[in-house]
Amino acid sequence: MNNTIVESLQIAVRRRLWREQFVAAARRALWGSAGMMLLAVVVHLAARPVRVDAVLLVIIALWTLMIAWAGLRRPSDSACALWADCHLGGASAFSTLLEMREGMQAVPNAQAVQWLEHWAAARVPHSLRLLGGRHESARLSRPLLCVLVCTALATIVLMLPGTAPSTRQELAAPSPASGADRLRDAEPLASVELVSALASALRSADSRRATGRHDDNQTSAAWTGKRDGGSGSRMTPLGTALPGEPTTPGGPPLDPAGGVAPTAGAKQTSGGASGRDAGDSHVDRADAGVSQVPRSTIQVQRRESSERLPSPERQSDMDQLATFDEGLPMRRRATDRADPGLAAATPPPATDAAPLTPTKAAYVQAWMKASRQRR
Amino acid sequence: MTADPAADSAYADAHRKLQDLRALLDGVIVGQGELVTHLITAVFAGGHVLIEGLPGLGKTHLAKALAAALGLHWARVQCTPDLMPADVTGAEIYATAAGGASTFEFRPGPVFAQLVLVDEINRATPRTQSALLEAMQERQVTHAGISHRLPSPFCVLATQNPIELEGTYPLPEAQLDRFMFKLTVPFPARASLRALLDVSLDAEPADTLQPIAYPADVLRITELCRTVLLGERCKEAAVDLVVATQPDSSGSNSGARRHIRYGASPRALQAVVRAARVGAVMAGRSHVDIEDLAAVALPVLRHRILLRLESELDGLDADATLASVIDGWRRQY
Repeated sequence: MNNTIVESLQIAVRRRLWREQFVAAARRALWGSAGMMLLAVVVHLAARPVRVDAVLLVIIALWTLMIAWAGLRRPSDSACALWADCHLGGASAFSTLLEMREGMQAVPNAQAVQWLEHWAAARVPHSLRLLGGRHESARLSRPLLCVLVCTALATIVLMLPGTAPSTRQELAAPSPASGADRLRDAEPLASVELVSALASALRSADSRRATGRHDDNQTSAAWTGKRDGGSGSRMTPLGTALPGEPTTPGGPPLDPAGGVAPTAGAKQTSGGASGRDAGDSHVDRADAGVSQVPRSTIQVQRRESSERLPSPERQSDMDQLATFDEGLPMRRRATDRADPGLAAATPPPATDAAPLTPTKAAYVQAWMKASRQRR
Repeated sequence: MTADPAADSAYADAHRKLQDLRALLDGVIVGQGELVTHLITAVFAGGHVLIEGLPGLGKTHLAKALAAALGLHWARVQCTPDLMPADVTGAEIYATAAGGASTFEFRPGPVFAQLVLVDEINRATPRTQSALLEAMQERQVTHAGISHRLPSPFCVLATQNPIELEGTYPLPEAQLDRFMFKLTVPFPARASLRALLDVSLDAEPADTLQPIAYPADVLRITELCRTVLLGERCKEAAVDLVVATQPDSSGSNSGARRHIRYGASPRALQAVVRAARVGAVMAGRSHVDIEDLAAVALPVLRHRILLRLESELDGLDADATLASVIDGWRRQY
């Protein structure tokens, strides 16, 4: 009889403690939800766009975790007895009685235990009254208010279009190839496919320019070969003449396309696109042969060479001719092309296998636009 | 109400006896309810009590009333500097029998009473104090190689005066530890003084008291109190209480660390629990509560701690220091 009465109090206390656990879990979940929303807002504004459904998913997971935590932690008998002792006037009777029943203490006197059961049973109605009279606040108002405010804030902020400050920062950074003012005029980024297409177009243009260079090299080789023939000066490409014009004695015949046909002399000295090795010898330089080609021949050659190349690559072509005019060796000229200052004017290589990054794509676009403006 | 009526009768009877005794003494010693309660607790816990108070506050009267109410044989020792140990414990005297044979026989001293009132114990010499306190601890007196058991129940009520300390021998800490309680007798409230005139103006009520219990009852209730249940929570609380008075312990608070030089001994822990058990029976329970521990904490601990000299010079006393310690401890439970 006494046991039943005491157990009824224990059940009531357990229900009460469990409810308090759920309230505490809800309170924590509310605070956590508010925190998650604030975090999402901060990330959305500062780092990267945050999707609303991702935030909702995290909050739902948080609530599930908290509710599960509260539900799985069933208040133990000792916790219930201790709570009843502390808050319901139990005077340590319920916890002591529980210890006696569970055999935690050797019972020195059965009379004492019986009197304790009697005392505890007599105390239960009073404790139940106290339990019914206890109305503790759930303390949910503040976290609830905070969640409402955070929800409103998050709703407003997360509905804004996503920003990519990292891309913006990269665009705003000065590019070695073009100025910040030009980049500011750049159009917003297209898709990666569009950029890849642009890169492919550039690559094809690059290949065309390479072809033109090859022709130029052949031309310069012919000039050098002519000079190596022992009768030309440095500024006078020997053996180059317009179709129909008379060629120099011993010079190579000109092909109909304006190129220089390979000659025995050219093959003899350099054998490649450059006849520099043959013509750079001290003896050759000292050989001040008489130029048989008028100055107009060189200019016509230059004009034809320029007209043969596509316009965007004209700068490179001019650079090549100027280098030639200065008489620099071909190897050094190639080294100069690899110079960063010169490479800045060259579009980055694009391959089909690796699409360009947004940064490079922006750079390619800016370079294209600058080229168009220059043209 | 329970399956075993004997259980009911044992604790209920003890509870009733203690309540009646307290009511009786409250009627005789007006306005000293807490003092009376603590005194009853100490007697039924088997401890000794040191009572400190100004003259005229009824200390002797209280001892006489208690002895009369419990039907105990009591004796009084008025301590003076020339009091010898034999005056307290007893001595052998040369006696002649009726047949003419002369022998030495032991004549017990006042310590062989069931309730001994030792007035102004701090006026006795340390030698006499030591003999008395040894009897209190051992509950026996050894004289000429022969041990003489003291009667049971046996309780010593010693008094001391907080003023007029010239020519006194304050009890050392080791001997103070033998007393379960140190009680202070406060000055009565005005209403109590007014009631005192109605009770004891023309008569000494202690002389006319009729006993409501007998030494056998005292022993039975004392034994019953030893069976009172002590839960784990209360055991932890009692230990924490004693640990809280240790200045070097991590469980002590800042007040204890700052003001206490030496904390309470393990004997204090035993005294707290024994006294709390009597308090539980007095409250009609067969189990100890935290409140029982808290109620006896101050009288058990106040003479067992030693304050720092700086704190004493600052005017702090043991009661004020212990009050903060007990408050801090109570908040944990």
